[in-house]
Amino acid sequence: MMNHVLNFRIEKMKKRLLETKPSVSSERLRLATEAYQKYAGEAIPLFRAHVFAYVLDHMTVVIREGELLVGSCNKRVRSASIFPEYTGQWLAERNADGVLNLDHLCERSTDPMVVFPEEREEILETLAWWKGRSLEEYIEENMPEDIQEARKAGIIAVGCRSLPSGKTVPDYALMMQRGLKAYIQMCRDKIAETTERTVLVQPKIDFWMAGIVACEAVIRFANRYADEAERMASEEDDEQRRKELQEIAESCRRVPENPPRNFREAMQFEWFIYYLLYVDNNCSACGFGRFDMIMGPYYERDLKEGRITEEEAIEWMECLFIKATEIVQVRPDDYSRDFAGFPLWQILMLGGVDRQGKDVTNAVTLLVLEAASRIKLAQPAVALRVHDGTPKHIWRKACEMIQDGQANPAFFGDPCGIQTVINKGGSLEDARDWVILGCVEPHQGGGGTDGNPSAGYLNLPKCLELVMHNGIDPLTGKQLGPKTGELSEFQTFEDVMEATKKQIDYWYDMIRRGFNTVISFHSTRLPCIYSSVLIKGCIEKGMPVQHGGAEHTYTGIFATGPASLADALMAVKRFVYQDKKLSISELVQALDANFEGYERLRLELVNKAPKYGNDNEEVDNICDDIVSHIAKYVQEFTDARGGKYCFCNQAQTVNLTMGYKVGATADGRYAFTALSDNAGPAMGRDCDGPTAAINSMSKHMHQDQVYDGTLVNLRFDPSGVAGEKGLEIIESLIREYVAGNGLHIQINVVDDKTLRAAQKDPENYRDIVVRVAGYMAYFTELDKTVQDVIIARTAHLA
Amino acid sequence: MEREQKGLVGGIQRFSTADGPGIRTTVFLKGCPLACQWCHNPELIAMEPQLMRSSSKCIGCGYCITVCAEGAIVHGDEGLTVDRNKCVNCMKCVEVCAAEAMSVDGEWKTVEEIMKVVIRDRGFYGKSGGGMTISGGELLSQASFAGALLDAAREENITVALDTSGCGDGGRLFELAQKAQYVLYDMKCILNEGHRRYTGRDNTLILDNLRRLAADPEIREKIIMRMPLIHDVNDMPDVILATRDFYRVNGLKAVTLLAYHELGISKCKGIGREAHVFQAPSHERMLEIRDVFAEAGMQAEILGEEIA
Repeated sequence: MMNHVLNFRIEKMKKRLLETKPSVSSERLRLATEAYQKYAGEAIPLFRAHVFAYVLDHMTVVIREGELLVGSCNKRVRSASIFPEYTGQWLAERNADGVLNLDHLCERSTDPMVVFPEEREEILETLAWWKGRSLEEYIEENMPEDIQEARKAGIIAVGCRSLPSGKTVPDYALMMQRGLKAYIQMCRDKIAETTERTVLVQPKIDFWMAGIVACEAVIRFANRYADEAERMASEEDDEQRRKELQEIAESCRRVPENPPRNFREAMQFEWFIYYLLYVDNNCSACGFGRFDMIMGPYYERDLKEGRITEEEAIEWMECLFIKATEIVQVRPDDYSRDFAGFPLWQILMLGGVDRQGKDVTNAVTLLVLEAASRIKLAQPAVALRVHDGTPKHIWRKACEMIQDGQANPAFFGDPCGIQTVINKGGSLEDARDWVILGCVEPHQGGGGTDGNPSAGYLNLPKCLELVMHNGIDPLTGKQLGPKTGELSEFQTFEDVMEATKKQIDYWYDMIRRGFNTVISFHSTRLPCIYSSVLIKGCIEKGMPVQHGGAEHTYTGIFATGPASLADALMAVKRFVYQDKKLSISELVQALDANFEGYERLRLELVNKAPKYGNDNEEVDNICDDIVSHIAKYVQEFTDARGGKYCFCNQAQTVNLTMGYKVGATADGRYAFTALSDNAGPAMGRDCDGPTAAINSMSKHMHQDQVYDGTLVNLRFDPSGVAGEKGLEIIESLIREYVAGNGLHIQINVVDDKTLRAAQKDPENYRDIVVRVAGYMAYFTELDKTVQDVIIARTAHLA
Repeated sequence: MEREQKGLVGGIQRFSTADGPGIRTTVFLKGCPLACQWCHNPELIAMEPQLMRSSSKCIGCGYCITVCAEGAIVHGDEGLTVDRNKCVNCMKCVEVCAAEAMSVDGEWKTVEEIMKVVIRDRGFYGKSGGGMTISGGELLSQASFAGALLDAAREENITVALDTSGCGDGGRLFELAQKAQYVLYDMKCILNEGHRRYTGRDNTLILDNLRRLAADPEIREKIIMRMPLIHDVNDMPDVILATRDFYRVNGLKAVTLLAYHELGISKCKGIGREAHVFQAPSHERMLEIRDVFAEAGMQAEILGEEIA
C-alpha cells in the first residue's frame, strides 16, 4: 500500500525549492547578447534559431543533488532568465521613488526576487546595449495614441507586448514515436522538395533551415547533460547515485533525438521538449498535454516487465512537479500584481475521453494525483477532465485532494469542453481530444493548435461608467469613449443596455487594433522557431506560428468584472426603471460622490436588487446577455495572422488593478475597489449557497458559446465539506456543474481563520497553496490585496 | 390537501447538509410546542411572523423610528432597540430598512411557492442522495401543510426527510413517515424529569409516538435518532445508557450526535427573547457517547465527523 509521504530524496529537493528565494540570473541575458552580435545579419528565422542554439550551447548545465529528471533553466533554483529582445529595459529604469527597478525587485510586495550583487552591474551594462531594441519598446513607440490613453485610463489592456504570441502544447505522444531527429528530417525533405526558388518560397526555406538549427541544438544540449552526468558518475562514491547518474547519461544520449524506450526516458523526453520552450523565449502557459494518455503505455509496459515500481513512478512525477515549479519569470510590478504568485499557467491534463469517446484514464492518472497530493507544489496545476465514464476511484482521489485543501486538481467538464471546441470549428475527434492552451481555454487536441495569446482585457464595469457620463471618464473629465447618449435620453432600461453594448464593442475594436499591431511586430521580429517546429502545420506550411503556421490559430480576448457589471445593471433596472425610486441622474450623482452622504441608498442597492450568483434568472440573464454579446461580437473577427478571436471569460487578478480605475458602481461597490472575481459572483454577494451559485454560473450561462472558456472559483470552509459526506458533496457539486454545461471549476477548501493567520505569520504557513485563477500559488507569496480577494470569496458553509 | 393552502415558513435553506443524507433543501415550518432552553432556532417557535433585528447590520439611520406608529423603537445605549411590549409586528420598519437590520421571520407561502425553490437543486439531490427536509419549529404544528408539501415533492420525484421532535399528533406523524424516505427524530432527554425541566413538556407523548413508528418495520429503517447534547443536561452516563437501552428495545439503529452550539443566543437577542447559555460536552465526551451507541451495534456519528 502507498504510504502517502514524500521519501527522503524528494523531501530534501522540495525543501531546497521552497527555501530558495526566487532570483534573477544574468546568464541568458549575456549569452543572448553575444548571440545577437554574432549572428546579426542573418535572415530573421535563422537568426532567431541561432540565438536559441547559442544559448543552449553555452548555458550552464547543472544536475542538482538527488535529481532524476534533469534540465534546468539556470544554475540556481527558481532563477529567472532575462529576455531582452522582448522586455527588460524596465529593470534599468527608476520607479516613482527614484529607485532602480532592478534594486527594487527584492523589496516589492508582489513576487519579490533576489538580484545578486556580482551580477547586478553586468545586467545593467548589458541592458544598456539593448535600449531601443526590445519588442516592448517598438510597440510602445508604434501603438496609436488613443490606445495608449485607453490603457492608462484602465479601461483596456493590450496583451503580448512583452512575451510571445503563442501557447504551445505539442503532440508529445507523436513526438515520442518519431524522436526529434524526424523533425530535422522533415525540414530537410521540405527543402529538398522545393526545387524552384522564388521570393515567396525563400521565407519557407529560411524557416526550415532555422528549424534544423533549433532541433540540432536541442539534441546537442541533451548530450551536454549526458556528458555532465557521466562526469559526475565517475566522481560519485555512492553506488546508488552513481547508477542513477549513469542512467541519466544514457537517457540524455538517447532522448529527445530518438524515441524513448521506457518510462524514464519518456519522462526525460517530455521534460526536455517542454522546458526548452521556456529557454527559447519568455513564454507562459505551455502545457504538458494529456499526460496520462502520453505516459500510460510506457509505465504500464515497464511495470509489467518489472522495470519500475509504483513508488518509483510516483517519485519521478514528484521530480516533474519540482522541475516545473523551478521555472520562474521576472516581471514588472504591475504585471506581477495582475498575475500574482509567479504563475506560468503550466497545465498537466488528466482524464477525459479519447478520439473515439472512450475514457482514457489509466494507472498513471492515479499516480499523478498521488504524486501531486504528496508534493503539494503550485506547478504544474493538474486539470482533470471528467465525464460520465470517469472511474469512481479517480473521482474519489480527486475529491479527497480538494477536501484536504490542496486546491488541486481543477475539474473540467468534457461535455462543455467538447461542445465548445466543436463550436469553434473543430472536428468531433479533435474536440474529444481537447487540451487546454493557457489556463482554461479548450482547444483542438493533436498538437496542431496555436492558441490563447492574450489579446487584452476589457474593464466591463468601466463601460457602464462611461455610459453614465456619455463617454467622459469621470476620473479625468476627458472624453474617453464614444458618446452613447445623455442620461436624459435613456428612457428605458433597454436603452442603457444598448449603450453599454456600444461601449463594449467600441473597446473590443480598440483592443483588437492594438493587439494586431503587437502581433504584426511579433511576426517580423520575433518568430518562435523551436515551438513552431513542434506544432503541426508549421513545417508543412513553412511558417512559424507567428505567421499563422499552425493548423488552427486562435486568440483569446478577455474581460474583467462581468458579475459586477450585471449587478450594477440590475440595480439600475430595479431602482430607476422598475420601482422608479430615483432618476438615473440622481443615481449617477450618488456614484460620483462615492456614496458619501448616500450610505442608505448604497445599502439599498446592495440589499434590494438581486445579485449574480444566487440562482436568480433576472440578474443572471443580464450577465449571460452581456457575456453572450461579447462572445458573439468578438468571435466574428480574425486577428492579424488569421487567427480567430475567442472570448475568454476570466481575468486572473486583473479585477484588482482595473478596479482601481472605476468609481463607485450601482451594485453598491465603493470606488476604486476590486471588481468581481473572474467569471464568478462579486465577492460576498452570493449568499444562497454553492448550489445556487453553481446554477447561476452553469445553467444560466451559455458557456459553450464562450470559445476560450469560463473560469470559476468556489471556496468552502473545511467544516462544510468534512468527512465521508463531504467527499460526496464535493463530487455532487462538480458533477452537477458539469451536467449544467459548466466547463471549469476549481475549489479552495480553507477557512478564513487559517488565511488570516497566514497573512500575519507567513513563515509558518508557507505551504498553503491556493487557486488564484487558472493557476495555483503559495498564499503567502501573494500580495495582500490578492490575499484579501481570496478571503473575500464567499466561503460556503453547510 | 389543497395547493392553495399556505404554511408559515421560517426559511428555506439550500445546500443544507446537516439535515439528512446528501445535499438537501430544508424547509423550516414555524410553530413548536416545546421550549427547549438551548433551542438554536428560537425564531421558529412562535406560530406567527416575527420581527428579527440584527444590531450588527444597523447603521443607525433612524428611518425605522420615523415609521413606527407605536413608538416601539428607541435609541438607547446599545443603539436602536425594539420594545417588544409595544411592537405589534406591523413590519413597517422592515420595509424601510435599507441595511436589512430589520427583517421578518416567517412568511405565509403556498406549497407551489416553496416547491419552486426546492426543485432548483433537483440535480444536486439526485447526484448526492439528497432531497427535501421538512423541519421546524415542529412540523407537526403544521401537519396538514407538511403533508401537502411532502406529496408535492413526491410528485416531483424528490425524496423527503422529516425532522421532528415527535411532539404532536402521532397518527399524522405515522402517515407522513410512511411517505417519507427518512425520519430524523429528536431525542432531547430520555428521562422525563430532565425533559420537563429543560423543554417545559413531558416526554411521554414523544416516546409513545417514537415507539409507534419503530414498531413498523418499514418506518423503523427510516429513522435516524438525533441527539442535541448539552453538558450536564443530557450528556450524563445515566441519560445516555437509558437512551441506548430504549433504542435497543425499539430496534433503532442510526444515531446522529449534535454538540450544543451558541448560534441560538444571537437569534434570541434578535427576537427579544431571553437566552440561556449552556456548555457543549467536551470532544472526548462526545466520542465516549458515540462509542456507547456504536458498541451497542448502532451506526453512530457525530455531525460533521466520520461515522464510527
